[in-house]
Amino acid sequence: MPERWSPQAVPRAMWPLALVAALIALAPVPAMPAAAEVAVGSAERGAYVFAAAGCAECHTAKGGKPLAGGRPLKTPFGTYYSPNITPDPATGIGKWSEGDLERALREGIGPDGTHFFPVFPYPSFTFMTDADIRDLYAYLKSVPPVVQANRRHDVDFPFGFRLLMLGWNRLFLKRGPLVPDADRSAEWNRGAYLVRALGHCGECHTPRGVLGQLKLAAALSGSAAGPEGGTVPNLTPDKETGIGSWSEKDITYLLETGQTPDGDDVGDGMRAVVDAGTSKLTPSDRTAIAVYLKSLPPIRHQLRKPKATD
Amino acid sequence: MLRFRTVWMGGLAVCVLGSAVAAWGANDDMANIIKYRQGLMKANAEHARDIGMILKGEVPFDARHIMEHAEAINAMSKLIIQCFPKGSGSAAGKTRAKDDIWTHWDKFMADAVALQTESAKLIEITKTGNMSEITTQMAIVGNNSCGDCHDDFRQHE
Repeated sequence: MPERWSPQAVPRAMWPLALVAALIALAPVPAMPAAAEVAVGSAERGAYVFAAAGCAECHTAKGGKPLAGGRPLKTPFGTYYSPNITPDPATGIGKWSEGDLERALREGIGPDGTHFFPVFPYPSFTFMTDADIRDLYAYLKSVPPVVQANRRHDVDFPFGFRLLMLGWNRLFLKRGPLVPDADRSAEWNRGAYLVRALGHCGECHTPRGVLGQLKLAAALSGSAAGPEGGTVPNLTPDKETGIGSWSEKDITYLLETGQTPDGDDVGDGMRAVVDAGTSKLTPSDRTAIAVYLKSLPPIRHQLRKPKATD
Repeated sequence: MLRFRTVWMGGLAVCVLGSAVAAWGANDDMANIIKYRQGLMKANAEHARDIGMILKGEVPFDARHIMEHAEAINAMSKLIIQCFPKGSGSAAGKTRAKDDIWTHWDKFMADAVALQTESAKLIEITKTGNMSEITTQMAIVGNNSCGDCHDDFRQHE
């Protein structure tokens, strides 16, 4: 019968030594090895995360300096203006710590405790991995700082009250990171991550409820109220109203070239998504997205009538 | 003197009547222009679709086929500007062409010229036979040239 360790098993003379050993064991992670193990983000990998997450599109105004914000984002609640995310300490996010960025992405809360509005897609970014957040932070630190003050949102009463978001988050925010589905392939899980977390595809392609929350039961089945005023297509594999007739290659080719299977350009908001985002992904990431989309349950959701050319 | 006046008045009448007839006919002309350019745009889309089918490996054709399609798109691209005379907007018929075309004519022209330039580059790149480079250039032709113009000047569906 193996002898279990107990205080009685330690000779009285050994007590001080045991105490020291116990203290070392219980101490919060010792300082020395930790210094070598602290993960440092890579700006190079962060640039990839940044492209996949499409940050530049909303955080750059038309004709404005990159990432200095000021792009108007029209919603049913009014017009929000994207903030400056360059590392300028006064007008950008130069003073933010990595933890600040993580909190913003995961909870939608700024360093001073203010709540962001979900026009910033933190309900999707909350699913990001720690490693991607770390790399993104390193990348954002590396871009040229721009001095440009943020513009005030121009929204209807009472949607300008940030504290309302406390309730909204309680109701609708499902905190990440995303838990991989062990029953699916690594490729499928990568696709799910790119679509649901980084790519935040559902922010435009999922219909919203009256409070602006995503109707997740109808995820990716398209939306009648797109960010640019038009409709946003159904991405589920429904044969008639979705992209059920598309092959995996039709999807990857669109993500790479912006061309639909009928030879039209994808257009509207998706054009910039392809240009700055999906065309920059590795071919295997584009395939992962296609594999994930093809695996979705088909949802019938008619959004637009058959189209005319010109 | 009297004769001169009669002739002058008669001439004026012919002019007025003539321009009225011309104006009446113009609407029909514009409707025809819309029909004509829709055909041209459809042709371009079909060529782009065929290029896509080759790049996706759906048909067993090679870069030489893509070159011929690129030649066709390049040829059509040179006709675009002429196909958008003033007055051929939605007031003249069923078209998604926005009136912004004629208020931002310089931008519209620049977009049309960009398609000429980029489709010419596509022809050149097809000669290398490098499918990945061809795909990249096709993205520039489709997403940046066609797409840029459509974003500004084609009505949402």
